[in-house]
Amino acid sequence: MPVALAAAVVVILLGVLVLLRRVIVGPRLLDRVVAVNVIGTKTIILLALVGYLAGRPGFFLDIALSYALINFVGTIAVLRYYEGRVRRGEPVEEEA
Amino acid sequence: MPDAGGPLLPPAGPAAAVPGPAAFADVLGWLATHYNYAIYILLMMIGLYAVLAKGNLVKKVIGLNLLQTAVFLFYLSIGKIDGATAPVVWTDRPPGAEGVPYENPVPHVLMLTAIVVGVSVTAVALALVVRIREAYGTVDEGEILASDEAQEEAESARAEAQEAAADAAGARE
Amino acid sequence: MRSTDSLIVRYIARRSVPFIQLYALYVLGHGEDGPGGGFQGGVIFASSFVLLGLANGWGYGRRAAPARLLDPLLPLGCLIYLGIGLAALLAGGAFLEYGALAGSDDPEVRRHWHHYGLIGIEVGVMVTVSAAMATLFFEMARPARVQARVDRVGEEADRA
Repeated sequence: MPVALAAAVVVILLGVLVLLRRVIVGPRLLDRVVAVNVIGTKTIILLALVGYLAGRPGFFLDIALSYALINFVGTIAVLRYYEGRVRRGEPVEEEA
Repeated sequence: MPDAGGPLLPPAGPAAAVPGPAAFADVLGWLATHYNYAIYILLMMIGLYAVLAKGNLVKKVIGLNLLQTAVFLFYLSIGKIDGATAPVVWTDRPPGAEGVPYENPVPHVLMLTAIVVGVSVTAVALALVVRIREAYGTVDEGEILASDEAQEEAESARAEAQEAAADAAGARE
Repeated sequence: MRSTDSLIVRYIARRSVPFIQLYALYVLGHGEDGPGGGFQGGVIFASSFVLLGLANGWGYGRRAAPARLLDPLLPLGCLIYLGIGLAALLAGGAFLEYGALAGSDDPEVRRHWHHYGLIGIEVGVMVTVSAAMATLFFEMARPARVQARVDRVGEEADRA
């Protein structure tokens, strides 16, 4: 059982690596935002898995719930900034 | 996790005049057991770079936050004890976990306070950025400095013109 | 800050507010034996107003958490904390010695009152932290036209 959990953690970390590439190379701002959001979702699962690995799932699930909330609010905040720039007709893509 | 009880620095060999392969292995071994220090220093330097080198004031604030996060990580990682659990009361322990110790809670509490202080610092910094943007119309440090310089030059030019006018008036009389 | 163009985001933000606040209270209640407490619960509670302000516009969020409500709450939380501490002092214990609030020497009763006192100061912390976080967000995100009105009122008050 712990081996399966540890394997799941490793697989999720590999997925985060793939997403990090998307965050770095882009090419569009929206790609980066969605990638960061998915990394946040993976973090939630990671927290739950670590909770089971540590033997205290209830404790870590609370933290995972809070993280899900903050992740949602943070993504909305970043996208509002993006929307504002689109409205004002400013360049939305990061220059180099 | 790094060995919390190990030596903080690599042990100095008896003949350390010429660092041989043994000394190199020592450093590597130290990095392997204390990699949290390496990560912390790396994160902190990234934050410091952003604070120093970025022109955009908002990015400077983000760099400051990164620097702060590095310090949180450092403190929390030195409070870690091998095989211990999070320092929150664990009442419903399953059989076999009765003797599991808690990690050191003091760094956790310290960092809780530091996070609250950090939020306040970020808020004050962002408020200043908002006021700067209202006053200068930009959040770029170079443009702000250029605007300041241009204003100073305009003022000194005006003062010189006034002096010259006063001199001319004195000469007429 | 205007509301977003997306109906979905606005609707989800409005509908998730009670759940966020309920979760904040849950986190507050588990401050003793779980990850949580006044600070964390307060921040989560404030994040519900931040979400409203972000998705439905500054004015919508500010009407849900108006300044005339938040400003008195800021010192009120500190007063709750201080009041419980002083109440323990008046009851014959040390400052913040919650067990003394029971007014009895029975260890079982004192243990119960210890819990009540702890929850009480956590409530105080949560009130102040959530009001402070919401105030920080709304003051920072204040649109230029509202700022102009505030400045004008301040100037008129200075002149009077």
